[in-house]
Amino acid sequence: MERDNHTYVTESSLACSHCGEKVISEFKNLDDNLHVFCCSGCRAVFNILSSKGLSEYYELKQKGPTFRARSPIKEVQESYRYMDSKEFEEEFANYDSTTKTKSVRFYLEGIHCLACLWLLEKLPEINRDVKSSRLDLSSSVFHVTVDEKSYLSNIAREIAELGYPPHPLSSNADLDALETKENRKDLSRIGVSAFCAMNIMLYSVSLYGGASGAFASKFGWTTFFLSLPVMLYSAIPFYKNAWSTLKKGIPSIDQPVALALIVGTIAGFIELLQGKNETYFDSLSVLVFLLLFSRYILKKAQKKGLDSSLAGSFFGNSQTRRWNPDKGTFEEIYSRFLKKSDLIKVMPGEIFPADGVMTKGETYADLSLLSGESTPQQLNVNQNVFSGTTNLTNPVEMKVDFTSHETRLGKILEKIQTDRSEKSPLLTTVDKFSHKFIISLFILSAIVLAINWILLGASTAISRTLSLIIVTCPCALALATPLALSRSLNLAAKAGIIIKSFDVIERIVRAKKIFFDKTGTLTYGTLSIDTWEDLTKIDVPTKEIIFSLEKQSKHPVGVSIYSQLKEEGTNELPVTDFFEHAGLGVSGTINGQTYQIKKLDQNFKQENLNTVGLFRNDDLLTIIGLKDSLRPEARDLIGKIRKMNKSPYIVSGDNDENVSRIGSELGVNRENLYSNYSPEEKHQLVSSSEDLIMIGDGANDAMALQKSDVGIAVSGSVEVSLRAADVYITTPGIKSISNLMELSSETIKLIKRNLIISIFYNLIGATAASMGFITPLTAAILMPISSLTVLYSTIYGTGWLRRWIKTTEVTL
Amino acid sequence: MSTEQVSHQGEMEQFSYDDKVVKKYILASLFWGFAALLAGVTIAFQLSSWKFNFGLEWLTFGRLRPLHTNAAIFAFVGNAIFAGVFYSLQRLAKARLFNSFMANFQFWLWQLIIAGGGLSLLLGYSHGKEYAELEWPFDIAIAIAWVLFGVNILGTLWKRREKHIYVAIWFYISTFVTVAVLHIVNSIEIPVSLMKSYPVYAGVQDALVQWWYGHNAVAFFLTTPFLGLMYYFVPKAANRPVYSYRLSIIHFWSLIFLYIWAGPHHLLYSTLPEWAQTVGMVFSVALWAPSWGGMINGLLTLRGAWDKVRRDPVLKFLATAVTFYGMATFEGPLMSIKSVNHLAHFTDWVVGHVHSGTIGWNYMMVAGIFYFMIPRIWNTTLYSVKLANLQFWTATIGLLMYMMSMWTAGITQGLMWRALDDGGRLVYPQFIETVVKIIPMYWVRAFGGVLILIGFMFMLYNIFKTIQQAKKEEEPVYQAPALSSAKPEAHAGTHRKLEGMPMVFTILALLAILVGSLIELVPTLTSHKYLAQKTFMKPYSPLELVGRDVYIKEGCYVCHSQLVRPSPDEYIRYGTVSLAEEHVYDRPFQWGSRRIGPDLARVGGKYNHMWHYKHMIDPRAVTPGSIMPVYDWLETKKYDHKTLRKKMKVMASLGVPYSEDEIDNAIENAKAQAMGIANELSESGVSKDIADKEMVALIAYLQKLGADVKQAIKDGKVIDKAGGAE
Amino acid sequence: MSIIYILAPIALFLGLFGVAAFLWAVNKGQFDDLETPANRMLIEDEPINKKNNKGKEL
Repeated sequence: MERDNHTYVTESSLACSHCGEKVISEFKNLDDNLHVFCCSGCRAVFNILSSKGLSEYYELKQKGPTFRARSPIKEVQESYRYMDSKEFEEEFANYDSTTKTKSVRFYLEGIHCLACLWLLEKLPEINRDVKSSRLDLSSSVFHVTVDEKSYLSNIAREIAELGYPPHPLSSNADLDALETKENRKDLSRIGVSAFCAMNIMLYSVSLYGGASGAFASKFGWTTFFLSLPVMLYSAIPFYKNAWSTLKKGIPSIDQPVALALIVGTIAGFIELLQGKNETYFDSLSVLVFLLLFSRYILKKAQKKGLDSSLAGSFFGNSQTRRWNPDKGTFEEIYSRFLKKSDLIKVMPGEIFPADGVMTKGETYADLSLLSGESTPQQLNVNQNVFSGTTNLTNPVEMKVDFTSHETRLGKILEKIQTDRSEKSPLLTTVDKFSHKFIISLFILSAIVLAINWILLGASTAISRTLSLIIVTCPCALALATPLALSRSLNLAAKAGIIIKSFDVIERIVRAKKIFFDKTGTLTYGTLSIDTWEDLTKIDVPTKEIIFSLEKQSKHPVGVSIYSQLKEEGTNELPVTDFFEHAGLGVSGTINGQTYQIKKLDQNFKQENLNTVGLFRNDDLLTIIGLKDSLRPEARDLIGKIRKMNKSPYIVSGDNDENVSRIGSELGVNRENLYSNYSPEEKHQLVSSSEDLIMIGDGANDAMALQKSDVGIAVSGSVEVSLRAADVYITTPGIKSISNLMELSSETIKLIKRNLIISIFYNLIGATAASMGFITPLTAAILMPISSLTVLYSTIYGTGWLRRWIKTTEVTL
Repeated sequence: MSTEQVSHQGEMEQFSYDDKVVKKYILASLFWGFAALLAGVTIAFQLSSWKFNFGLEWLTFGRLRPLHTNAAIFAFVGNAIFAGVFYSLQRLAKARLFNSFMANFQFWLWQLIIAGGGLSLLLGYSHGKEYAELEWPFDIAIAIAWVLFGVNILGTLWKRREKHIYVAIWFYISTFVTVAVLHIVNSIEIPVSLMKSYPVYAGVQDALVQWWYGHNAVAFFLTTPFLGLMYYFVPKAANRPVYSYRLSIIHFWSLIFLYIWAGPHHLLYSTLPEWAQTVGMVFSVALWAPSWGGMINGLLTLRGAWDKVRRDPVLKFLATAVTFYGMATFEGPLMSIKSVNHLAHFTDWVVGHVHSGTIGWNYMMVAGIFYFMIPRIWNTTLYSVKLANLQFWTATIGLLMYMMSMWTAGITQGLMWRALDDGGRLVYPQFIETVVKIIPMYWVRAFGGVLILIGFMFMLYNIFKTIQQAKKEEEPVYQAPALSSAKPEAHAGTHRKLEGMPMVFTILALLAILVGSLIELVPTLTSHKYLAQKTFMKPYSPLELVGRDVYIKEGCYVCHSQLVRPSPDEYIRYGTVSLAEEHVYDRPFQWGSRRIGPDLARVGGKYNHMWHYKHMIDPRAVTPGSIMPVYDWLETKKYDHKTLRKKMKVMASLGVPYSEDEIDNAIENAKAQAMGIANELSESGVSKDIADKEMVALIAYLQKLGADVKQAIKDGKVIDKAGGAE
Repeated sequence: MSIIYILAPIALFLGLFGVAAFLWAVNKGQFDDLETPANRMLIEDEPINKKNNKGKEL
């Protein structure tokens, strides 16, 4: 395609003919220019689809259902050639010799509607090498089987061209295989117990209805034989769990259940032998079925909550250009296969994949990942480079010294991993309470058994104890807490707050001190225009000159100036022979005049702002003061924290005046401010006191976040901060932190309410059972009712939760 | 029929669907549908006024009603199921039908069964069991056709190119398996002649097996396949995925695990043991949950597409069908509750419930899927959407008239039967009062039926014109990658291929074992061990046996019941409450399911022979206002005594204590008894040669009904009281 | 009511057949992904030997 002539139209009501989003800057299609697109990505996909005769995609898309908001399409840059290397195929593809094919699994971005399913499963017809392709809409995992000899890279490129950038999933992810096997085992157990329970009920109802004589005993024995598969197969998890916890001596809720099952079956068997029909097979099988079923639903709900958070952490660039001495060129390989003393080339915009020494070129790098400060540092030949930092301006080459976990970043991550295991999950108050409850339950049932045995004889004793054990089985208790927690986790995940584990919520509520990191958390972290002073009037408005110059600059300051001016809608002037020299600024000529933007030195500093100046052949035209301004929502967040009688602190690597300025603006008193703290010092400060929350940038405050009771990462790369912090906020800014606080306290209130319900239920149930008012069957039916009430109270939630769900249209 | 060209162009296989057989089934379903509805309308008018029987033997209500039920269920709905299943199964499995020849063979066999069976019913060859009236040769043919259907389903599945078996296909598989078992178990009968056979079970046993079959024929022939069709056609027509696929899976498997015992809800307050009735009631009410699960899933699939329902006739039919399904499956469990059942049983309310299911759910569903399929497989567009909408409104209004009239008639008659004044006497002692009262409702129902028939004719015309404008096009060829696992090696021998079909092989093996074991097991179990104990009942005499067959031939059980229920009003109106022992020799049991005429369990000895004679020739002469058709040909047709000895031998083999010589001189015995009756009739002017006519045999049978019980009470063997006798 | 000795085993037999089919389906992975099939069945596969789009009103 020759140069594309995109015309700039400000606000247009047109919708992109590919993705349907509102078009901001109009990209016209070249050949028939009646199609408009919102970006070049969409236009590229549109052309590919029409050239391959797949335009039915749009017909289907418009008619069929869409069920998820779609993400914008990025122009395809990656060539995926790293997928053709031997090592990559060993790890990611698995071969099938009989059909001479190999299959790969990808996680695809941007799956959102029926047309995506149609398009992707049509791949075998578009590309001859593809044998079969199968998409799982719920997890966006795409399973492709291709001919043995074909290259995975052009399959991956083809998928990316269709608008769904693929990320390889290692084929022997035994975690996934294990999960499906586990899921299937659960389903089979539930299926068997469902069948037996239903049919046992069939014969039991005949017994209640008055069947007698030969029929009664025959039905009795049928129920016994039908209950065997339930007791011997479906109920295995209960016995295993009960036995393992018993060995460790900690009481668990499966112990009473296992006891009830064993005692009930044996007692029932003896009853049958004596020809009587007082058996409990119906209640026991119904109990097993309902327990298995409710636990299955609970596990699915929990998994959904956590799943949506981890899926996102597959990004990060995965290819590097390595110098191949015999070929004499740079070839692309998968970054995890880098070895010591490899020579690699890093392009602007890419992340340095390993620690090492610069060998050629000089550039600007963003070291925020390690140093925490966003202002770019300059790098030139044989200076040390660390993995995880981003190369901003020019392509450079470096020699690799350390790879993967030997790098500085790798060490930090490794340290976090060890820290994490020390801090074993605290026994929450509920677990402690349920242990006491179970022990008392055992004692009570022993007493009831003894009394009834003496007074009313064996069979009534057994039946009463059984109904006591079944009815007081603390399912509501066990269900109450995890259900409320998993629901809150799920709601939070939907609202962009990813919470790693259950006990985080409880620890948030218990925390007394909250430490804020300044840069990037309380403040925007990027310099924004604060003051604008035109010294001399000239014919062309200085705003347009700066806007056009900064457009091509990669420097963070330039980028933030450009984006702010763009919002104001300044129009652009054509710029010729633009040049950006690292650290010194940018220059270019606009209709004949050469302009330059440079950092001004110290003496122009007005009350500690950094300033930038616009020069026309070195006489100063305008001075722009830049400031790292405070986030607007910071003030009311601090107010809310004080209302929850927790005390806010600020700790930052910045100098004293900046920290105190921000501190006074937020009204945080003097002694809670700590400045010039390096990441290691923050780590010390945090581990010195108890019950505290650390809110900061995921990367540089990693160790501090890890050490604090609750670490909340507001920004920084997903991978690093997810490993360090307990909570990762995906939405920009700190607005959702107040939601997080509110959500935690409401969840605890909900758990307390659920606990009261279950205790109240257990008390009544226990008394009724021991006095013989309820039979084992009514007990087995009452028990799930208690779980359902707890389930309903969780879903019903508290006033605030309901309002919050409505505002963020979060669905369960 | 171009067989499937499986050209191995790399993995991508090319195939085309066999839509020819689907077209045949659609046309057959429409043709028989018209016949079934026409028969339905005729019998509706016959109830409104007896003149519509036209006095013709093969058109009277007794024989036409079984024709209507069998034609509607097996011909109209049956053919539609085969069309819908073969259409959707191939598309869901992305594979051509397993064997087109087998499908076509099954088609012609099925049409033969319908035509032959229908004719045999009109000629009076009935097996006497509701919805299973066809005689034994047809039963065997149905079994064969059904197995072919099953093999085709499983074979297509084995060659499928789509890994996941969609929930609709599971419904089809379960339909095949359960209906096969039902039909086989209920058709265990020992033939007496080419067109006559006696079921192996007797009395209460036969009743339970019959209604275990009866209810589950409704459940697994009229509901499960249609749920499968719903799960395919509703999402397709609305272009929305089903509301919750997880719910449909739970809905299906909960239905299948509990192979239900809802049958006994047809036998509440009968001589079935108390506990069996309770089980039947409890599980019919429990059935409400999965049924409504299916309805909710179907209706909610249309969320966001309801505006299309207004415009698109296909969606209009499907949505209404699912709603009627919900209504019928709510009304059913309600009517299974014993107290409600006591009012509803034997009345027209049941007929209302049946038709809200068959017309509301099945007829509408069939219309919906036909309007969806026909434009696609004939490659044309629907002739007139307006006409389809017109059909929809006529059918809906007709059905509402039908249901409303039957509810009113049913509840009115039920209440009138049980009405006692404060003195404990029947407010309506004469049964005819309750009949005359609801005749206007029969007229309303009849016109409702006419509307439904007219609606159906609109569809016939609409489809005829649609097919007429179809453009001839060569068969579309599709392509899809083969499932690596299920690909049959081209050269494998047939047995190896058969063996390679695990599912098909196991099913056929299971069926073979089942049928085999049943045939040996059943006769032994039912005949000897349980009938030996002494009973006051005496077996039917040869003439009474022939008379009973005439009773079955004329379909008297369609209007008359033979079961006195344990409640004060029935005790006063009819006499001693029925006992389980009474029906020990009844093969097949004749309790009946509708009281258009009075209960006959205690009619023995109530009227003299002459009364019965006059009543047969002209019912209105004896009971003015009666809507009973005229049976004057009974006076001229000879009763068939040639097969009498064979009948007695078969009955004896099933455990009825006929001694050797009773069987040998059966014919003389029958003639003697007939002569006795003929003499009494001749005293009041009937000519003597009535002696060998069917009339005499029938009178002999009618006079026997309840006679043994009256005798037993006189001898003190049975204590008679209102709540029930032992 | 001796017929129960035939009907009950048949009912159980059919039920067992149901369980066997259920276990076969679970292990064949029919229930691993319960969201995509509902959408996949909506896709009309268009024939390859006819380029013009049939006048099917959806």
